[in-house]
Amino acid sequence: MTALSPELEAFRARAIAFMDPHVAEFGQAARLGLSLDDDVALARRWQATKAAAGFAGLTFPTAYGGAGLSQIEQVLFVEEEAARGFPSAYFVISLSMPIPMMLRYATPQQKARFVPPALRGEEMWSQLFSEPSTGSDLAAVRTRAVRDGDDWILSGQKVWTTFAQYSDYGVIVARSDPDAPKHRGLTYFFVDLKAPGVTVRPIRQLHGAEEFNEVFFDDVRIPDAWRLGEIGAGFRLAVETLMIERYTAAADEAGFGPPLDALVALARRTPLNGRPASEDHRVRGVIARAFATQQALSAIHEKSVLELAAGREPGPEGSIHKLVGARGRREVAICALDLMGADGLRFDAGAHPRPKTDFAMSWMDQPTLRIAGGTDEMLLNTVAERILGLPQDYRPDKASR
Amino acid sequence: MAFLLDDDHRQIVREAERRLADGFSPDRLRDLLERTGGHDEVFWTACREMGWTAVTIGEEHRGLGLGPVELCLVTQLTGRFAAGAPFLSTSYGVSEALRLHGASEVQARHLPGLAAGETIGAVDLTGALDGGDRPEVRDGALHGVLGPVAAGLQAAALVTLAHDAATGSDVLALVELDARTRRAPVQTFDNSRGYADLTFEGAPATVLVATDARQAALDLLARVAVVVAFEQLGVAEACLERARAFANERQAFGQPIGKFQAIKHRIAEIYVATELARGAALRAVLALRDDAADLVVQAGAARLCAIEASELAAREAIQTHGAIGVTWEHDLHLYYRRSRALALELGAAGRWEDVVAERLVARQARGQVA
Repeated sequence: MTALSPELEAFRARAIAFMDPHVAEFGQAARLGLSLDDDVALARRWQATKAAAGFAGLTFPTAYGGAGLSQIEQVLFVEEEAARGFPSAYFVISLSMPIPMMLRYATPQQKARFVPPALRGEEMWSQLFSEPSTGSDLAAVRTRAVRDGDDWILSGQKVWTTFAQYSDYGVIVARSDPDAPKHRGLTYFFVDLKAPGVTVRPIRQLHGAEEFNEVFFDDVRIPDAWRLGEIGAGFRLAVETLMIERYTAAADEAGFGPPLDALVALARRTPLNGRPASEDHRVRGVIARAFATQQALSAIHEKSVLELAAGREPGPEGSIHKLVGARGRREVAICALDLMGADGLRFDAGAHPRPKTDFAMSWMDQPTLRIAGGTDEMLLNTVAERILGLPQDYRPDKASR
Repeated sequence: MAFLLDDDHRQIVREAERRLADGFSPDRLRDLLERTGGHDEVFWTACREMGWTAVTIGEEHRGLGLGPVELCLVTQLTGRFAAGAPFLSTSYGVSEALRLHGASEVQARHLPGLAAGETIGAVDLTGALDGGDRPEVRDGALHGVLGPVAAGLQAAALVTLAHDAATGSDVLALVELDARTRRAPVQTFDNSRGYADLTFEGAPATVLVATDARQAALDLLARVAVVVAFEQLGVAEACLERARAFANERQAFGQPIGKFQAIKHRIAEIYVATELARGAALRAVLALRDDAADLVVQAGAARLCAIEASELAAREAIQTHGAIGVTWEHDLHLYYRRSRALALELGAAGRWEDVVAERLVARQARGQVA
């Protein structure tokens, strides 16, 4: 049997002592009804508050403003943040993909320049991989990077870039050698999203909110010093980016949507065939199955925490969290809306999406959850190939090289 | 709560796996299917010799004084090897009832025999779920019928929910199955589990719990359900492994069939369900070990996930194999049968959904967070 060490419990207590006085300003209740702009602004202040207290970039080196701790402290901290509904999601991409890649591949001067402001929430970073013709098939990138003396000229289009409208910089993978085989002709850079020639255009999602963007590059000039890794190593670095801190299950702020308790409360107060719906077997089935799945996921998470605390890699089973969470969310949200009947139609189109507090929004956002950050199909492929050792799909793109 | 296995646990698993693999004979298991009332004596001998019958029983009763975690590590493996007898979990139900509710002389009378595996125990607690007719206790003797009961053919002691004629309320009773009990073997699709219809004509009965007996029966059922959830997890693991291996090896249309997403996604789904079952089972066994207040809901969660995983794994492993998977010769039907038998024995999924949801609703009504 293993429990968390006294040191880790002390860290958790310290995190809680830091957070609790800030709940009124940054917690779930304070965020209700905020527009996306205002919520992001709040998130920047929360990031700055964390940085000032030494709780930003927990796993980053102290030389660049981090706390020099390990992933276990990060996971514990995020658990407590999530429990209080703090607005940390906006910086998850920034601090778990581009900035760690900067720490691995940028020069010391670049790290000193870019890492601390990102930790303080002053500058946000995006990840620019997907393109209109390139979703899950990352290596099919078409955006061009053409060498011009000591510079590169970027031209092309990225898409589905989360929060790019708020971002200052991004990491990008572009085709630097159109004649090389698909996976070897790519190079990885960081880029200024406020530079001339960059156009960021928010995309309105099916629920009306604008969380992703199209990003156009029209002959955008960047110095070769902003290249990360070797020329032609872009695909490897892009995959590496996606593999960093795969264990982020606890950071899944939306997950199942509103807490199961909200469905239980709704079922208790909604009449169905002359009795509370909470006595109806169909409703009970949804409640019980969602509870069972949540308990299972939570146990998997706790086991991963213990493994991290023991200095080991968490097992691969953490990778099922998003797949299972999205399915559970659909079951719960549809059951809740069904119970509301015609009231379930009510929807505040102007509000910023809060899948955690509103069943209609949880349902509207569910198709996005199945796709963002790896589609259900790609996750199943990953489980099959990486965990179970089944052969890779028929891949004509690889066969031809 | 969660936990990681320590070195002692890993040793238990290693030794158990070696012994079970040595005695594993699918042919013998297939033979058992063709007759009613048999069980795999090789397996049951292993249980006794390895001390698995004694795991959760206290040392004062010649047990090993370990806990449910250690027992569950073993039942997970018995699931993997489609063990040809249900006695580990059915006897656990009786010894656990005695540990929790037995007077010391009753414990002393039965626990050493259960620890040695000389006494086989059985439980029939589904009365706690369905509220149907129950046998009746009159003047210390049981009258009525139950069944089919797993291990009913072999058991010397049975714990069940009964109606007390004197008080008019339910009691949890320990029944000694002697000549005053008629046992009729029941032919089923999983014939190695000793299913019998029991007719009680004055079998000696000891009341273990007279107050809130239905709650006590549900609590006991939950405990057995946790042990069986690990067995179901083992069934799922075995089927996942077989499906995976076959998909890697079987060629069709010029490639291993595991290259086809229709196949590989199906197998990935088995993995997902299996890991959920593992997570829920781990959490439940800790609730069991710690006698946690939420034991019943955690056991229910584990049972729901375990039923889902074991049945999905068994049927989809068969589907992955194609026609060879539906032959008598192939082992997969052993698991297919077992997954359904285990889904039925301790109360079907729908009944457990009610148990879990009812408690979450009640918890909220009392003002606690669900």
